[in-house]
Amino acid sequence: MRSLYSYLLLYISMILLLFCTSTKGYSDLEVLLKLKSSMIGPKASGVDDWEFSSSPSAHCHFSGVKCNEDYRVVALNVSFAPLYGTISPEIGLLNKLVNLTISKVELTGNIPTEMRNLTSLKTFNISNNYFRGSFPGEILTGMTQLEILDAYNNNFTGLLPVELANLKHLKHLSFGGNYFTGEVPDKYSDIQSLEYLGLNANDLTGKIPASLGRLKNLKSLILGYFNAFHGGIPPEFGSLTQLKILDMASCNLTGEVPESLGNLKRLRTLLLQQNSLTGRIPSKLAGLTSLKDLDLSLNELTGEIPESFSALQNISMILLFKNKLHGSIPSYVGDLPQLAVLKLWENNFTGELPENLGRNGKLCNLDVSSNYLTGSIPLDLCKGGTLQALILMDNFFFGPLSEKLGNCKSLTKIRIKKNNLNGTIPAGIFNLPLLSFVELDDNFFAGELPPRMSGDSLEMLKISNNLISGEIPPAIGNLRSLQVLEIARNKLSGEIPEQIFEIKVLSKINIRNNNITGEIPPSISRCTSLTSIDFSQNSLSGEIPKGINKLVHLSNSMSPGTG
Amino acid sequence: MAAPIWVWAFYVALTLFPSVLGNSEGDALYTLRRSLSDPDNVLQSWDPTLVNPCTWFHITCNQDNRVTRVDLGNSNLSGHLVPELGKLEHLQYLELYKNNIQGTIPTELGNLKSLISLDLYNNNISGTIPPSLGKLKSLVFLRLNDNRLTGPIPRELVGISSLKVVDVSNNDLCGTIPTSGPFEHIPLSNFEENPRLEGPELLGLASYDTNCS
Repeated sequence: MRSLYSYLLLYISMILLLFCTSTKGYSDLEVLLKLKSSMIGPKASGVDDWEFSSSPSAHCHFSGVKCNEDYRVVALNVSFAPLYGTISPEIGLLNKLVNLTISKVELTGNIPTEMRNLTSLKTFNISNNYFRGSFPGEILTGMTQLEILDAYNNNFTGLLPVELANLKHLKHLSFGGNYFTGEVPDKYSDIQSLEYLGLNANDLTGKIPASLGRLKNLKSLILGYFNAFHGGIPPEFGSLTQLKILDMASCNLTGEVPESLGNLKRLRTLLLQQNSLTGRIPSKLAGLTSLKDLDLSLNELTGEIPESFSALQNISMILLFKNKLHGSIPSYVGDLPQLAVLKLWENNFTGELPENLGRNGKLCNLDVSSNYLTGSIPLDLCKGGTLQALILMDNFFFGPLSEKLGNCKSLTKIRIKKNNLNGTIPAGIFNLPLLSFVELDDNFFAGELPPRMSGDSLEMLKISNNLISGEIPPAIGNLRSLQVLEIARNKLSGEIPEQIFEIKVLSKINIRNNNITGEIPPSISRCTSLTSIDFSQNSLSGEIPKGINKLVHLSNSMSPGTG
Repeated sequence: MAAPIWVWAFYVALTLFPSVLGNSEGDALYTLRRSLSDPDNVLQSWDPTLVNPCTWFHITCNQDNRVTRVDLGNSNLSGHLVPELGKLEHLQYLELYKNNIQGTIPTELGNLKSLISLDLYNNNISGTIPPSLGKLKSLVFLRLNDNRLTGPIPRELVGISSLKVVDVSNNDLCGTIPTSGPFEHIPLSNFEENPRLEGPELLGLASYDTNCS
């Protein structure tokens, strides 16, 4: 009888012992403290408030830690802290973790395979650290609830893990900004729940799997930069009907832009710049009725801007610069209601700018330089008062500049040199508050400079090689930011106004080859910022003001006739 | 009768200007301009007498008028770099690739503490890679490929944890390839075409004399 009692006692105590050891001896508090010691690394900094306590729930008040009602850690959210250490394998014991976000904390080392035990994980965000080695895909197999996997901007190498192909709830997958090599796995097309796929800025090669076109829920596909894919854009991408963003910039793409991309009715952003794409811009891209931003610049595209693009009623940015496009700029471009940025420079465009360009009231940045454009400059470019940069240089535009540009208070930059423009320069241009750069050289501008000038921001005024007549207005002295004044090779007459040398930052003045008379104003000697003057080939008389010696070291000889 | 000192015109080129006007960043860049040969006149707007270099083409400034970018890739430039470049404390992008620049990499470039991208690739640059580049703690892109660089790859670069892209291929470097820190994941192809480069360093062994300095 007594042996049975002691046997029972032994049995019960063994069970109790077993019960104690089955929790592996670490509470979540102890796990977090172990994690702290590995994460704070050599600099021993960060998560300072994670300290030992005898209270069983103390760890639930650690910064970045959230618990459930059983004091088990469900969220670990530490970002922007200077940790510099590694993640210890004990993290695998936090098996109730739902949200693991450790971003921008300078962590390094490998991902412990013990993390396979984090089977409740929905968010796994280790972005912007220095984690290295291969990404242990096997830890993902058990994470059946995983919705977000973000490993953006680390130092992972090796092949992209394929184990996540079976995750039924994965919405966001970002492996961009690492050193993954090999190909984009075909199996990624099995992740039907995927909404965001980012593999940009790696060392991926091979063909982009056409099967990715099966990802019916995909909204963002980011594959560009540093990757060097073989072949081009799979036409199957036209099946990604939910796609909003397609970014395949600078990843060695060749071949043509597939016309099937025109099926992407929800696409807002299409970035294919800096590749070696050839062929024409497909007319069927007009199907991109949601498109806001289009960048096809820096490619080898030929042909014309399709007529069908008049359907792109939502488009706001069109970048086609540095291609081999030709033909005229279609007139509907002036009707596109949202168009704000139009950059077509360095192509072979001919014909005229659409007459109603700018009438949508949204135009902000226009650069069509280095083409073969002609005709007159549209009148309403600044209709909405938003035009900042007007760059038309190196074309064959003729006619005048509209007076309305003189009222365009948003203008910061006008570069229209090397054209055939004529007429008077609109007076208001010299009064615009934000205009800093004016370059009108090499045209046929005539008439006189206006008597009123007040442009506070004007730094560069270059109107050389035109037909400007009349005098240099004294009001030019009001342009208090003016550093460079070039009005060489014009038909200016009258005298140099003394006010010009009151401009405190005036550095260069070139009025060479005009018909300017009179003497050099003595005020020149007070213009201490002056470093370069060219008054040659005029009809100046009198003496060089004595004070000029204080400013300068005359290095060149003067004209003959010194007395 | 009063004789006019001069009859119809004069042209004055000023060689001395008050230092109070000097903008040290503009001066530094102008020193670069003077040591470069510029047949396409891409540096025509680089006028050192202006208040700052922020109106110069190929120069970008921040809101405080400090230079953050120099964009002169593919500009048909030759000549050489200058130590004064090291004065551009806010410079983030130094893009001088695909030119015909000769001479050496100034050790003063190690003072560019804001630098994110140093692109000197496809030039004719010789001499060694200065160890002072190890001070560039914000550097992400270091592309020196396709030059005539000699000497070792400085171990100091291993301390730049932000480095993501290093390419020194097609040079005449010697010694071994660092394998620690950021170099753990730089692909070996970014070191190829250096006939005297011995391959990845062997850590933990006694150092051997590779006759490389």
